[in-house]
Amino acid sequence: MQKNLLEKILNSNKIHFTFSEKNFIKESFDILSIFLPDIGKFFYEKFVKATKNSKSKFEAKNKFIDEVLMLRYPVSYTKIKKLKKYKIGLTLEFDENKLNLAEKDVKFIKNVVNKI
Amino acid sequence: MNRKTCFITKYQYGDFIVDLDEYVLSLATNCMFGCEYCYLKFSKITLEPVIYENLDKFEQEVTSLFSNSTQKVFYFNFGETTDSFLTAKHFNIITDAANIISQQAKKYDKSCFVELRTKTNNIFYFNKKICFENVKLIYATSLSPQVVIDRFEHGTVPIKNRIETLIFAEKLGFLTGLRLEPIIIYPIYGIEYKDVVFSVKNLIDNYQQILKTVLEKIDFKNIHSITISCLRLTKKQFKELKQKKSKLCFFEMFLCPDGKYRYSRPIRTTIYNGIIDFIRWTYPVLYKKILLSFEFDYIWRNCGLEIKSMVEVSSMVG
Repeated sequence: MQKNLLEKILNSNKIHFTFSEKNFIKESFDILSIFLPDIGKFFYEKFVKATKNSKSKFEAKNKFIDEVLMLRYPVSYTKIKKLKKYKIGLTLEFDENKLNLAEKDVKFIKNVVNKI
Repeated sequence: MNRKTCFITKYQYGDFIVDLDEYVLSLATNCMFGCEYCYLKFSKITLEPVIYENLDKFEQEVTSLFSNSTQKVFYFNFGETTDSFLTAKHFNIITDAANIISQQAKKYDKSCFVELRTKTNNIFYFNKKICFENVKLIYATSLSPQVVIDRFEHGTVPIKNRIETLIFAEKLGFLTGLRLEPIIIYPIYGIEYKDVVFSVKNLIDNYQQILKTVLEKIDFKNIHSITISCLRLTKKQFKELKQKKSKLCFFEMFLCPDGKYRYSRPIRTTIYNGIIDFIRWTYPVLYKKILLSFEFDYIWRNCGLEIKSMVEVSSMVG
């Protein structure tokens, strides 16, 4: 039942995913289902939300992937959004002292990435 | 059985990981416990625990190591490829190996520390005061919340017993090692942000409680080191555990620069700081004995820790 919901999302004509995006969504689904058996329902709700009022398949896709990233990485993804202007990778595994940034920026980054 | 490859190997921590300057002693292989995260389950090794008998080869390696190095202090880890106190034969090999190291250490003027790591309470059967010249034995045990032991460390003794063995080991003349590793987020109260925060705070509280219990009962001067490390999984482990739907595969885990999966950086540093700050403010004399195991230098710095190795900590113990 849960997997059926996932298939419905991935095969929908309201949204277009690349091959790697599909793989990311499937992997996120598999891992999250370990902790929440009815994760399919969550995903489907996010899908409906993303496709509603989106002007294009591309916009719908971006909204949906954003939701999946928030589900998959609830702590890190909020950090990434705060650090958007620094174009930092999602993993947050870097030495901020080696980023060639001003001291105030380094301090800001440290404050964001080292706390839950 | 005779060992064909080296008994003594320098620990390879992986790219960008702080080197703790340890040597692994492979005097025995494998273990019959069922710890779900153990790398031994994913390695090509014998199905039954094996103890190697050709200690003449071991002695040659010790001699070669000491004679070819200007290093004065050495740290050996016997608990990496097996549980150090798994059987009576393991006890015997510890004594034999320690004797060999002691003789060679005396000859080449070295000081040696040998870590014996266990999740058993078999030291109660060992029950023998030990003393080797130039060698100090460290009795180390993994201190995990009982709920984690029950779920992921099948067949091992409860945390209460592990703490009792530390007290007993002290009386036999061992130094002690407190090993807060691997730290596993469990139970997980949900997948939303607030649930993850709660799960992590609950974990930190559990570890603070364990430390409080242990540190009320053992002598600080005999504590060699406290190591802290969150769970890390190889790609192979992650893939297989995910297929088995193991709760070790936490959703917010990333593949790190050394090729291992770990909890995200904010989660790890929050956990580490929660434990380190507790020790720093409650038991300040122990702060200098804290090391992070298998972590990057930027994580050490962001936890306020000076980067140091097991050899450097050993030099403090004297």
